[in-house]
Amino acid sequence: MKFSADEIASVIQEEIKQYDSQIDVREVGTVLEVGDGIARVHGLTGVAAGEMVEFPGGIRGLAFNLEENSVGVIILGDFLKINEGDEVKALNQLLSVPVGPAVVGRVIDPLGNPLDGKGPISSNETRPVEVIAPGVAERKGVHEPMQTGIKAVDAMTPVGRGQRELVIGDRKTGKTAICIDAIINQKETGVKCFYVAVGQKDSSVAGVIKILEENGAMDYTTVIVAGASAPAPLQYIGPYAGTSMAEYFMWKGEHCLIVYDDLSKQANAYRELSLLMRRPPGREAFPGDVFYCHSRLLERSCKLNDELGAGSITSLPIIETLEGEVSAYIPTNVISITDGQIYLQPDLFFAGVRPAMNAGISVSRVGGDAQVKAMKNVAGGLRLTLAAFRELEAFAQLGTDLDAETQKNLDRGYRMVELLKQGQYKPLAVVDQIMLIYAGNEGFLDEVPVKNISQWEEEFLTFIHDKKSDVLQVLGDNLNDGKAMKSEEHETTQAVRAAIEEFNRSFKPH
Amino acid sequence: MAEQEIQHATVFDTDRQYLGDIYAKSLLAVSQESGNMDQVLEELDSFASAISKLDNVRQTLESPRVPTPHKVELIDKIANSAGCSDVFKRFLKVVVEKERFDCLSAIRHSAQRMHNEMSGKLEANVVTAEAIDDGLKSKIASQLSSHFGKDVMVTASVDPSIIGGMVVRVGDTVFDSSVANELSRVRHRAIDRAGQEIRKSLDRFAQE
Ligand SMILES: Nc1ncnc2c1ncn2[C@@H]1O[C@H](COP(=O)(O)OP(=O)(O)O)[C@@H](O)[C@H]1O
Ligand SMILES: [Mg+2]
Repeated sequence: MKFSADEIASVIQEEIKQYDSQIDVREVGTVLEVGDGIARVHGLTGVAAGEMVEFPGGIRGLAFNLEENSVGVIILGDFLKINEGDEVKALNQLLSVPVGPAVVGRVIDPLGNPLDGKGPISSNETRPVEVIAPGVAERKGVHEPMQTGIKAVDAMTPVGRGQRELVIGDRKTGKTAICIDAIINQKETGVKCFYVAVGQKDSSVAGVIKILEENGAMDYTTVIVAGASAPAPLQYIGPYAGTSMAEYFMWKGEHCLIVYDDLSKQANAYRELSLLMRRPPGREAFPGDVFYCHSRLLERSCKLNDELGAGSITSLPIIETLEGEVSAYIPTNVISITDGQIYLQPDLFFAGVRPAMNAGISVSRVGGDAQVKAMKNVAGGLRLTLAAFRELEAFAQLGTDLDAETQKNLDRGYRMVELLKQGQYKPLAVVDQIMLIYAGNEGFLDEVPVKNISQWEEEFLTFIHDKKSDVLQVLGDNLNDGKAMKSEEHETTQAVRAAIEEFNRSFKPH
Repeated sequence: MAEQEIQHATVFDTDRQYLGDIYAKSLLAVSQESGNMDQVLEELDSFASAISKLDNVRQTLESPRVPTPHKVELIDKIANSAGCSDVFKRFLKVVVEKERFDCLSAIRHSAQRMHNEMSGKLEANVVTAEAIDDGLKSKIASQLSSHFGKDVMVTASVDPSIIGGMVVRVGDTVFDSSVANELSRVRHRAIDRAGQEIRKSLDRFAQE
């Protein structure tokens, strides 16, 4: 294909014809010193904190520190091209990013520049990166479920729409994996997803994008990338930019899921910026306001009330701990801000328990109200079984003889742990999860050898989906019935029981 | 008044600028009390530009290794031979005693600026592609004066790269009606517009 030069010339001609000259009034300053991604600027007397400025060559900056004699600017571009004495111009607008349907399905940097080679983001709507979170009167309680498709999470630390659930653990414990599965599971729900990669290796991010594409999740997902090689300012604003893009949909009454992978790296970027700006360092050399850096970000995830359209942003911030140290500065901060945490443990991960969630210390403080009733009914039993199991497990390792009752609890615990294992990219529908957990709770797996549990699971689900669509139907219809899967007499409970019994008669472990 | 030397729009050392503001403010206050502000300012102006040409003297006065009494003595000699006012002489001695002689040009700039502010004057720098004559300069000055409601003093400079028109800078605000600026704005808008049109209908621009 070739472009017709005449046609382009006519567009430009038109533009020139319509151009009416007017005096360009601008507020300027002069670069005093520049380096490490920041510049000190003299002048710009009327500039506000958070306002954008422009260096020669169109490089953008953000007024960050307003000092008595100078302005500290963080440079959102190549600072090597900026020289001492350059003119800096105030743009009289806050840092904004393009928002709207045009960003969906794209891979972009935190300023909205495309990184996927699919051309510019053609959106005429923008939104400031820093927005004050909605106040209490504009919100309502979290009450709808945000299914992640992961058995352990949906049963024991359920997440509701508008909730902030922290995913915390050492490196390589499956933190990213959980969030990616949660995104994949939103395929038929209409939830828009945002994956903000901060300080990640570009190869890891490329891997994530590939997986999202393979699973058809890029149709409703935006990936915002400020990788490990991106300058600190971009890593710092990435999460805010992603949230602004999600807010666009929230205010339209839609639902969003946003993953911040991860906030430890963002805190490091903020520390770098602050130290370069000569702000005084505090604990672990972080600036005093690093708490505010995360609290104002996570407060923007919320559930709007009905008058405002009842939209929501659910967030899954990730924190990477060092050697399981959850009492370090940043982890404790973010734990205290979020509505619960999913704690992933390396020893579980290496023992093959994946997802490696430690059910004992993982919590969801608000998700219970959002859990479907039928799931709530079976999940209660699951928690009790696992709690009893953890106590007994220690004894069992001593090799003492155990009475029959104890041995039975122990055996069931082993099977439950096995049942909660789940491979990657295989999110399960909530009805499937309920039936599986019910089967485990009620002892239907007691006769199945532990090593055959996953075979049982797989074959049972095939059986149900192929032959028992009526059971799925009944369970689906009664998900929010308080008695479903609780009282023996309820039609749902009976249908599920009968189906499991029927399957068990024909099940052959191999 | 001493001959004009190149004045930078910006002082690159903000710490000195800050000190300059403090000393200038004090000097203006004292000379206002003694009623010879204009004279003192002129003395400061000519002293600073003379000193900037006499490297030896300047270095001696700035050096922390020369004992202060020597410097004061030197100041006395210079001031007496030049017939300086008492206020200015004492001011110089204070500056030397506080080891701040290196801030002298910052003090001079600050004093000039503050004096202009006090007397309702405004400094404007006009950049044009070609040199302008005094008639045009005073015309520009009177136009600007009526726009700002202040007595505007115009300094002119030449920069051929703006092609035509003029750029007026007052404080941190720039009024830019240069041809170079207009051209770059037209360029950006044409690129934006062409990009938009191409994205809207590729067929219109494509050739087989
Ligand atoms: N449920 C799972 N089953 C099997 N492998 C998993 C599971 N979750 C994660 N993994 C694998 O573990 C490795 C580390 O996971 P990742 O999510 O990248 O960890 P993190 O984000 O905590 O560093 C990856 O290779 C991933 O494929
Ligand atoms: Mg990861």
